[in-house]
Amino acid sequence: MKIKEIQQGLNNKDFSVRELVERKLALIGEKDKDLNSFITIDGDNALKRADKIDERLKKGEDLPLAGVCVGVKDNILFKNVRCTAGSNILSDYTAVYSATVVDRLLEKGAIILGKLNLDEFAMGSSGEYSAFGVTKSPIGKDLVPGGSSSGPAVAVLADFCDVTLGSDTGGSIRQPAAFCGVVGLKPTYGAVSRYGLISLSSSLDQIGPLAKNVEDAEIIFDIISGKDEKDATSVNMPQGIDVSGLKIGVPKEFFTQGLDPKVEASIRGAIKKYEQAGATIKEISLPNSKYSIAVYQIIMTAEASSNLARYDGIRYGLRNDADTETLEEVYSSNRTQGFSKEVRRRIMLGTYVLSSGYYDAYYARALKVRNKIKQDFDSAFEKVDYILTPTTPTTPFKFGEKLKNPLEMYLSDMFTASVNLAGLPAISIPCYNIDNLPVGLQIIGKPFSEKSIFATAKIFEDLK
Amino acid sequence: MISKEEILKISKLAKLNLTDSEIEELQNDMASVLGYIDQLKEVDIDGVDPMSHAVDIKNQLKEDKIMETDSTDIIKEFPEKEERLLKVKSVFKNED
Repeated sequence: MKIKEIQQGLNNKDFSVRELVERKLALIGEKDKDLNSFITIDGDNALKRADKIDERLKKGEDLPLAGVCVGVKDNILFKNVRCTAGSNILSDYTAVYSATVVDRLLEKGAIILGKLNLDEFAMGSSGEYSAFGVTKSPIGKDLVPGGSSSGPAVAVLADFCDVTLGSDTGGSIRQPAAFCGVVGLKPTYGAVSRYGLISLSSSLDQIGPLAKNVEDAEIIFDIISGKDEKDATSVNMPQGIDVSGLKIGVPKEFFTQGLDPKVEASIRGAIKKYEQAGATIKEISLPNSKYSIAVYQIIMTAEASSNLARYDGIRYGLRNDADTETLEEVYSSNRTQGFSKEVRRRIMLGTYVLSSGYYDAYYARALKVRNKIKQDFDSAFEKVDYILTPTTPTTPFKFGEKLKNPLEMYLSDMFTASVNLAGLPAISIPCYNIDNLPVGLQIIGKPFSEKSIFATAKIFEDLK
Repeated sequence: MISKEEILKISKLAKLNLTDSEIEELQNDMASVLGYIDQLKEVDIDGVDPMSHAVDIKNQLKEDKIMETDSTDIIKEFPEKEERLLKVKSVFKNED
């Protein structure tokens, strides 16, 4: 059911909030053992809260998210509930506060069913890198659901949750949304508070909604977005951009080698539909976009190495009793045991590019190329209002396919990472299936143009 | 190719222990990624400012007012404690 349908059903007394939660918990109990999308299910509290919401509704209170069951990626804190970031280093950690986005949803009457599986510390593009087991996709049992918001995408597709919250640093909402045939939005950097999001890369991370349809994603975005005093990088969003007429740009660099020709055909089909709807289609160029993965790997790993320095086993998290003599050894012992191989790999790379002697060649240079990537978008947005691309270069790949060479896994972010580098908003919506496999269409917009992006996305959703 | 010494130096900075086979794997993995990153050398960055943040804002200040806080939950997460104090290993070697 869509959120508005849930509201209508509650108004008509077709069901109670408790019944809705019971149904979802039953479905999760039955089907999630095959999918492993949840790390922690907070069933008892969800039911208690459902009863309270039912009471408040009886008293006539207006709760726009009453009955809406939400799943939250396990790198977003929910007070008093275990929060693991998909890692052994936090396997027994209980959140001591809630993220602002969680509080905002709870204020409107939403029920949080539990915490969803992810690639460890949001590092991954397949759902294969969690310390809590691989997440499977309902699309096909040997196909990856995508990552790192693997749990959030699967939980929406499998109807375990009405909507979910994920996080996106280089594509981690949009890519799993594309691989699972659902909608996923990465907001403009600063549009949604990061307070309570376990940081991966502070200048790239954003929390965003995943849902089955654009309308529900928009409802959630409206509630979670907006300046938060607790996040100094969040801003008040300027008023929506007035767009008369639909000017769409198609970047030629996103349609060359590496793109599966069948995926291209699906995307071109969508572009034709927009043309039929009256849009002007222009070929544009984003010449520096080909450097996105290189720039992203440097900046993301550098920022991650810094952000993950806090996990040392002292104040919280895993602390072993290994035979150590120095403080250094205590730190190394806890961290080596708690972090998986991929996390250690990225920390090493990030530390290397920031280290003395290499800082200028790698990190400082990457920050400048990042600016050039952003300038390409700025120029393009002088001529067009939206940029349409495939979300991913292929349909969902198979488990194990991209594990041998880490670089191959990183390249699957080639269409999404540039958007994070430039701080822009982008949505992935389901495009035409290829051989029964989902394809994601990415719509990129100007900063803080989410409302216009939703409207543009709905056009295709209706015409498809 | 990154040398073994270089990998060990980085691992000390990163506070990670590595086995010999892990060192070798990392040499290969990092060489692969760094080789790919090398293409950034060809970009003309003359006169380009570094971009470390997407939003153009500075120094978001908050009112300096006292707020009530309760450390109970934080203390609950201490791996080892004594009353309200965090307990850690003593790592001071006796220098004789």
